[in-house]
Amino acid sequence: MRKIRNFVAKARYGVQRFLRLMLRRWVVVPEPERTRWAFPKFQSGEETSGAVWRQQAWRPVRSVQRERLIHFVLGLSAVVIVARLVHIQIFCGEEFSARALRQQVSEEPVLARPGDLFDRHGRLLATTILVPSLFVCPARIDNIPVVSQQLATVLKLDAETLQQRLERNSGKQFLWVKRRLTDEELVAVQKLHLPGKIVGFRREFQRLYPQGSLACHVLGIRNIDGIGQGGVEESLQGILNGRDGVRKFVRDARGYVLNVLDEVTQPPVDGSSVVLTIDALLQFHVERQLDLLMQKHRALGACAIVIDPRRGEVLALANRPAFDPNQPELAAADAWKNMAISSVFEPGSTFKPMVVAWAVDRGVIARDATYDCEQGAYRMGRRMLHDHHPYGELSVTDVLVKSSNIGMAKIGEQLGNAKLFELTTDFGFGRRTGIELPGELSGLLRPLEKWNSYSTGSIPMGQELAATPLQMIAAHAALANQGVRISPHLVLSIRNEEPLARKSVVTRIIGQEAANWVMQGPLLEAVARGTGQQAQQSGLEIFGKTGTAQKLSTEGSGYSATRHFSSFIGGANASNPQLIVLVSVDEPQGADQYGGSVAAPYVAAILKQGMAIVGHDPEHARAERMRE
Amino acid sequence: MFLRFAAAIGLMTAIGLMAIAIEKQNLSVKRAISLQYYQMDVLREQRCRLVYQTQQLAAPHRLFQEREQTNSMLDNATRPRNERR
Repeated sequence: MRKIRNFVAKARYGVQRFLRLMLRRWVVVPEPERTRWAFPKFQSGEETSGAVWRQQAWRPVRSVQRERLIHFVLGLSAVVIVARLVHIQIFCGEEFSARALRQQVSEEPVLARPGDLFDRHGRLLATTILVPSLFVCPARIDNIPVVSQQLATVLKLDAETLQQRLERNSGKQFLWVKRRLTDEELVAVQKLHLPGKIVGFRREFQRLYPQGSLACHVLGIRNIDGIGQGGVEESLQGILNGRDGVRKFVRDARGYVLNVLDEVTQPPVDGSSVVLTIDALLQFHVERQLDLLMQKHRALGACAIVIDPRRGEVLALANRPAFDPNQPELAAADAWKNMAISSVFEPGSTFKPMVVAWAVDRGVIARDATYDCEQGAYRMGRRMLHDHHPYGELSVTDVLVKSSNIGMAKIGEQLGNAKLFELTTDFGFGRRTGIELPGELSGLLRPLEKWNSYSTGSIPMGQELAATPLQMIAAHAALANQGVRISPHLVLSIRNEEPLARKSVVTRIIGQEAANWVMQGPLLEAVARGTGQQAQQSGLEIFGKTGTAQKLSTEGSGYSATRHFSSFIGGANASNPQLIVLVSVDEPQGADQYGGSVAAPYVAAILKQGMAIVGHDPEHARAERMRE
Repeated sequence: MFLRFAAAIGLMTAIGLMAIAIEKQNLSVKRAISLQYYQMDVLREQRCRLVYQTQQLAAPHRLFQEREQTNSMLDNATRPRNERR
């Protein structure tokens, strides 16, 4: 207890002394009174109670001692301060720097402008402009009903819904009211003179398609956040988007910008523009023909593809129903489907030329061979095959011209399943073509182990396998290109970049002789006097093959008698094919649903327009000259 | 002594004034560059809008529509009067 008392007395004495010394140092005191205080001195064993300390505390001391004491205290303080500074600067420096930087420097993304899309002649298919979007700060709105009423009136929104949204988010600092305003809406909102603390505009990119619904399935759309959905907008997003930049600001305590930090700002890299192989004019004609077809045959859907067989370039690709990418909200649910690449159907008779060409090329059948078509009925194992018309002896050419199922089944018997499977895979069935579009299907081709005797008769007729329209036209394009298959592609070049490395695959499937024979023989004859007579066009040597595949029955197993998938694949001119056109119609209505009646006339019309366009195309003319 | 001191002060003041002048020039150049960037952005945006409008006006469907309308008008005009009734 005594020890504690002594300690307290000593501490109190020490504090008093220190304060007095400090006071004396800064207050002018007469000389005799200035230097007089020091610690009391005690002998060993002397009583050092608090009372004794108090008595001796006012003993005068010399100034030297006092100065030393002051030096000591100041030195100690300096050491403490330096130690603290070292601690802050060295040990905690990085943390404090980062904290200060976070408070002072703020970042803002600088959006990169997406690249444009052009057709092969430089016509603009898609571009981007900056438009304002309106946001509010609900937490700062005093009178939500009035503000929501005003905004809803000028923006043509539902006032009640907007008010509910604002009330529901009343604690938030940011809420979109309407994005992508039109110029009229912007002026109308500005005329409301709402305070800047509650409303604001942010500029955003809007994708526009000047050609309207033209080639909508090729282009796709961009959603409200600028993300590509469908078409090349999705598949080429990495090239089109570019890289956003960053702008850094130094702000004061109130948030005002003091300076833009140039040295740490990352500039945006705008997206590259892409030139497609599409010809907008030809695409327009193709779409007009599809509209006429849909009007006449009231089909579920239709698609058309035009390919330059010598280069694998897709010149036009259209589907019906379609949509306007500028107004995607108005599109019907079934309009989004790109039937050309994401619908699979049994190819039917359009598959027959590939079988014949491959069999002739491999020497399995002779060009002048004949087949007995059994007057329209032929038993193949347990199966009874029929032709549409009874035929007797038919040459190979006539088997294709008349599209005889029995003749093809007999060719299938000569080939056998292994060779049929080989030719099917050679022509690219069962795998994607690799076109630059998302959602392409590979079709259906069962493994050879699952084939049976039934397949030997079915496959040559284009049954038991399913293909997309693009796979079908790619296979026919190989025949038209003297047996060389070039995988179809849509990208011609990318602007602002090095020349595009071709990604198309070039494969020789059959010899030039067999391919030319099929084009200039059976397929030309099929249009001249066979099932494709409605594809005839004066001044053009059109070759082609019809196809009318029965769709699977929705009631139980087997094929439907009334629902068909009608096609015609044709090209011009037979001696030097420049264009191949496919028109496929899903469930045409009416009495005559054959591909030769439903699709062939439209292929002829497209070929007529297409050849006129290609004839005037300097690029094609140059390619022709080089070819010659 | 005083002269040296005055000279030193004068030198320092001169350096300070020069630094201020350079800094001002630097800021004005920065402002001019920013303005040019802004103007370039505005012009680019205008160009995009104009290209969009021209392409929209020259779109095949629009041209064909106009041509067909003109053709039908000409047909009507050249048809004999009694047929038009």
